[in-house]
Amino acid sequence: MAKTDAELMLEFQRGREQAFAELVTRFRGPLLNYFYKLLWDRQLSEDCCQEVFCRIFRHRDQYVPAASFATYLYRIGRNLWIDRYRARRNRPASASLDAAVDEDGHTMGGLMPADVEDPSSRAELADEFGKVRQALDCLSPDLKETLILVKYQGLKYAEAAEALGVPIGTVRSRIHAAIEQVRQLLRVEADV
Amino acid sequence: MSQNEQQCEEIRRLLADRVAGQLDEPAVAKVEGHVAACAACRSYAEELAATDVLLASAPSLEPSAEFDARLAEQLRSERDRERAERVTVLATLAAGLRRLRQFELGVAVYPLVLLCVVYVMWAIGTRRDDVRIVDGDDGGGGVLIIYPGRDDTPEPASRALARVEADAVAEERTIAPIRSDPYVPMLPDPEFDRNLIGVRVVYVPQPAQAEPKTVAEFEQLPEPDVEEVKLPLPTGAPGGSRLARARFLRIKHSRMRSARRAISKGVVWLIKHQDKTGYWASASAEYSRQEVTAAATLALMESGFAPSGRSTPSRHLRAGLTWLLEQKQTDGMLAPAGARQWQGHTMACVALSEALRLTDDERVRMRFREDVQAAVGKLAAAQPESGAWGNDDPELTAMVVMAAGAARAAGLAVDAATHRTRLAWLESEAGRRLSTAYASEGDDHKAGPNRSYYAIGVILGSPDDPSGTDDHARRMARSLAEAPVVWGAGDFFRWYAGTLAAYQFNGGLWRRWRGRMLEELLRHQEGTPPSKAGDDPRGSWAPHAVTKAGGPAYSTALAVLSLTASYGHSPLYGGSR
Repeated sequence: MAKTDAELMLEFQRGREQAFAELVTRFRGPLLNYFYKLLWDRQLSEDCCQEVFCRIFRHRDQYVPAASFATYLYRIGRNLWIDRYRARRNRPASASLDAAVDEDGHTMGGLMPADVEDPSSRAELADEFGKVRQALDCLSPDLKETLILVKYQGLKYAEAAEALGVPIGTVRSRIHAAIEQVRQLLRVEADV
Repeated sequence: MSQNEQQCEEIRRLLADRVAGQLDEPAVAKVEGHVAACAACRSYAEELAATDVLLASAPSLEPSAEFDARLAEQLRSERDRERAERVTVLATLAAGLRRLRQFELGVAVYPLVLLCVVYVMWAIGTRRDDVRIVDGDDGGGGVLIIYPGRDDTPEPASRALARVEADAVAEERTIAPIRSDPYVPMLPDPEFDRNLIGVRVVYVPQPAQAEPKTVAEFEQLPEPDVEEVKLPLPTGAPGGSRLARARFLRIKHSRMRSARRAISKGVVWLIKHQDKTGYWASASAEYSRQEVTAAATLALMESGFAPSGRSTPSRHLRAGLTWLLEQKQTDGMLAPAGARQWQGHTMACVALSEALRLTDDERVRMRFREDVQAAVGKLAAAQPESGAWGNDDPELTAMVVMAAGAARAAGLAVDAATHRTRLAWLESEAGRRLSTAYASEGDDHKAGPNRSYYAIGVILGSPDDPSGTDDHARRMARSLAEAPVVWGAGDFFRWYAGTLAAYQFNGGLWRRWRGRMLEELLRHQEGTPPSKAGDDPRGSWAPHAVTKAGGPAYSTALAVLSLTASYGHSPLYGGSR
């Protein structure tokens, strides 16, 4: 039976680095996508992702298996995001929703290199991608990060509450508000 | 807002939960039922479905090809930095030592260093435990010596003087052995005075004199006058917290580190899993909260915590006992009607009797003594003609015998019940049948539990008439020795009953039983941390098939009771008889 995340982390605390490698394999994809939906930039997201793993590596002795490892990971990730971008209001400028290719030569904010995509499908995908990005970016940072943790990272309300440091009721009301705002956005677009 | 509008509001919130992936099956059915009947909510649900489709279309990235290599490089740097830090610390230490040797620190540092060394030596020299354990057999009926008591011993002239006096006493006085009592009074044994739980040395105030300054002056002091005070067995009288303290100290000073740790982890788990209203939950309706709570409070008391204590476990214990007392039904039973009502009631009698015995404050004792007495009285009143309770139920009968013993130790009137319990049972057809059957069934797993119950019933059942029980008890002990101690065979109560029974004989039977029991209990105590946020099972024992309905609190309480059985009581028969 596969070991749990907490078991792997405890093994890592005892000095087995292979356990940490397994944790990285499990969480690098989800963590990368978490940052990507916050930043819309592949390079920045990968940098943040690596920094989170380095922080866990550095402070491995501080981990206490009181909550799930995923909660612990996203809490560190969130702190990093706040330190680097949100608190300084230094988020990368939103790319034009209509632009298929942004300034650094990547389509859709670095989703994929421009030269490997079929141009015929790219426009369609870009349109869909533009909509969802617009929908997420129109949310306040609190609503957006809560929606990302619950909807995309698959955390339960209780886990998200722990990662965000807020009560469960707050998480639920944020989720309702976020989904309602996205619904309103869609309705306006349909009216237009 | 009308009721319909409120309902629609609630459904819309649930629809949003569904988009977030947080809705469980029953709620889904409720939402779908409402949406099918309400046009407005149906329209809202369709819009949310479109929202869901949009959100689900968000792209997902895969790490780039360079991701792993870059991360590996960063982690390597981290590792190098850690090594460099360690080297720096060592180098700093080495440099400090070199400077020290070269007298570069200056003369001012040396008095400080000297002062530290003197302080450490003084601290080591003046360190004195208030309790010493002289214990020949850690798990058996060892000897516990308590001296001098901290609580009410007059403060000697100085700490140093106290040390000198205590050492003199330790060397020169013959300290009488103590016996902490078993559930029931022991068989007569001239070797022991069973009314002692300890010997306390009380310092008689000395006439004023100059405080000695040197070792020579200490040696010239007259021998301190000491007075031996026998601490009476706290049977129905204030002073029971000393017994709890003796149990606690025996566990604390036990040489069996693994058992000691298992007990403390079990206690910690129990106090973490008590409901804030005071009870411990069971896993099904079969076992009442009362039965589980009684077992848990008893486990805390057997681990050395008194209801009047100030420690955290004592506070939890008080909450549990208070809750138990509040559960008194209109018919006087302490557990609600159900399949195990009598087991719940009886276990509550054991716990409350023990609490009565360990409670110092006479006002508190008076407050609940009457209730406990009435509850114990119901046991005798409900005894069937056959002698065994619950249609020859060995488990319940064993519990009743234990309750009678605990009540007697608490000074409650239970003589009638005690006599009738075991004697009637032994004489009954069922008793004879059980006795012969279980003595010859070998290692049959099904017989194991009943054999334990029967053994404890026989051995503890008739303390006032030991002469007639001896052979019978020995026969049951031999039978018990053959009973398997296998994880999953019988329930946890069987382990506890078997442990108590085997312990009464001390010697080889007890050592074999304890060895196997410890091995199984230590191996099966939960030690894995939780994988998700939520319940932490560490320290508990998961119930196996037979006691699943009792839940982890019940199995943990009984496992702790099995582990602590030998610390709070002395064996009836000892190893020498």
